[in-house]
Amino acid sequence: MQKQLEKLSAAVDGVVRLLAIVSGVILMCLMTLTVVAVALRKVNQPILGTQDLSEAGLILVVFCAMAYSGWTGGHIAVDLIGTALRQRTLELMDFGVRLVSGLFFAVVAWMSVVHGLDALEFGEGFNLLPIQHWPFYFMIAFGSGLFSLVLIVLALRSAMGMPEIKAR
Amino acid sequence: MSDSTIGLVGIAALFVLLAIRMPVGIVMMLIGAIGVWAINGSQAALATLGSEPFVIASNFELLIIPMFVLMGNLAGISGMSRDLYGAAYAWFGHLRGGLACATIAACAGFAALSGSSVASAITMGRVALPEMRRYNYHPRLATGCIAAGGTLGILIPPSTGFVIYAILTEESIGRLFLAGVLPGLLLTGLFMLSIAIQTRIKPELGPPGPVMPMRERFRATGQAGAMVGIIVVTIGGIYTGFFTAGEAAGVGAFLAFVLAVTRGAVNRSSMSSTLLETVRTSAFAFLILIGAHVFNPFLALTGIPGALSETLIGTNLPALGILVILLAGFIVLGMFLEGFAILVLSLPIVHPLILQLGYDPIWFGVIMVIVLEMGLISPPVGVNVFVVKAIADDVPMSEIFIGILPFWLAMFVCLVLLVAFPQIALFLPNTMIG
Repeated sequence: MQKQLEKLSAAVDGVVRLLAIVSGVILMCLMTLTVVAVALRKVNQPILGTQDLSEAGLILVVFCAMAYSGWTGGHIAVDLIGTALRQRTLELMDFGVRLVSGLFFAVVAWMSVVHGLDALEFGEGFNLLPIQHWPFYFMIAFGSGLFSLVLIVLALRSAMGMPEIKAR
Repeated sequence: MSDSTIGLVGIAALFVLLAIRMPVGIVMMLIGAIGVWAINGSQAALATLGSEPFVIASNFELLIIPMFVLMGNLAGISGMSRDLYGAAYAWFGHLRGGLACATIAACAGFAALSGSSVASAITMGRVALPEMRRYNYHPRLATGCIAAGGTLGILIPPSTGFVIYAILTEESIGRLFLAGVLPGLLLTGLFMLSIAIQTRIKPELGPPGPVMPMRERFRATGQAGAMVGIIVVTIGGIYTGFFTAGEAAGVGAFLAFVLAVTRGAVNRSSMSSTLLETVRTSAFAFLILIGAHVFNPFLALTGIPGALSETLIGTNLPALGILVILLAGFIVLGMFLEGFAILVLSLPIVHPLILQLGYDPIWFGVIMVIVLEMGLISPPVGVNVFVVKAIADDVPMSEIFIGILPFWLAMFVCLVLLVAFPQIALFLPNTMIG
């Protein structure tokens, strides 16, 4: 069981890191877009829909990185009782907390799919550019689903007393 | 069960889940959703869960968070922290406690490039601590000044604390940034004054370093010129209305990237770790904001914020008395809760009260950020203290906390001065152009 969990962890690690790099590359593109947009606006040649592109890009930045942040312990928690409990008690507590969190994020992912389908049906889109909202709802669903998987894998690792994952 | 009882049960559950180490953002989402379900039914709760992640993650104003985090991280890899410290060292190093003062000055400079206190403490700690050790600084002063100096990261703009405050209270990010400048400089000065007093009483805490020739001082200052240029462009751009705070973040990150490239600091490995760290930090900030936007409507539905405001105002205490009670409460909370958690959990209750009392919300934002800073170095969960402990692992925690105490008192003095003279915070935003 532990060996299989290590294999699953390695696969999850690869996917979340790759997506986080994609998130970072999109952020660099948004940075460039901002600079170019400011420069062109100052010479009265504004780029139409800069804000739409930035908003769409920001969704990708956030939800491509959500699972990586969770995987590497980036989502802050308050550690008031950590030093007062035995290691095994802490691991079991983390198992429960992560399992509940993982199941909850599965619900968030599902509701994003539902909203995405609504957005597709009603043709919701950004303000100036003809970009529909629904792919971005599905991206949120994917990012939340992956975050849910990450939390469940971390819960299993806690239950089996395996070490925490560190950011590299 | 009445709405207010549901609210009280929800708040109690929130603290229990926080205590058993559930991430802050998830706790707020979970309790908020269950609470809305209990009051308004499942449809409303599920709709909130489906819509809020999109609403927050597509908020154009929030692009400022990953951009400024990126700028700070790029400044870190490009060696700007070393240049800053070098310049401050050249001017202050020969004085008694001078290296500690140089650390504070460099922290203030780095804070103008980074919105994170933890990042400031790590970056400057790695540069400054070995130097202070080399000159036999007492570990108490050396670690204390790094932990305290790092907290300037969220007061001197850009600041993630101000961005989150602005989003939750619908205030202007640009005005809040400018409101942080003078209090940031005031606190920097108070930290230095604290070092001067400590080393006057106990000279062995910080022996003087070597005197640098004047030419060397100007050379070191020149090396930090690029960093000063980036700060002037970003903060100056916001002040003059040349661009918005969000655009300033993008331009600042771009300039930091260009500088890192020209210094040969950008390669595949450094860029990949910079990007990973940036998006990791940004995702956590967004999760907290999404959580706050699910939790806050629940809190509003319970009527607790209004009832609490009425109770406090009904005590007939003067506005200043209520403010002092609030600040004392925040300082105590800061000892047990993470700063951002306090910010997002308390603002829905405190912000309407502050407006009702007639206080300026921009000024109060600065006050809150300083209180969060105090929490960052308060035992038992002061995050910056753990950061410094990680860098100086041979220094006992008790020693670090003793070293921090004079700086904590300096923050308290800064808080009192800001309450007495709100113009310190409001002068720059009130003269802002655009």
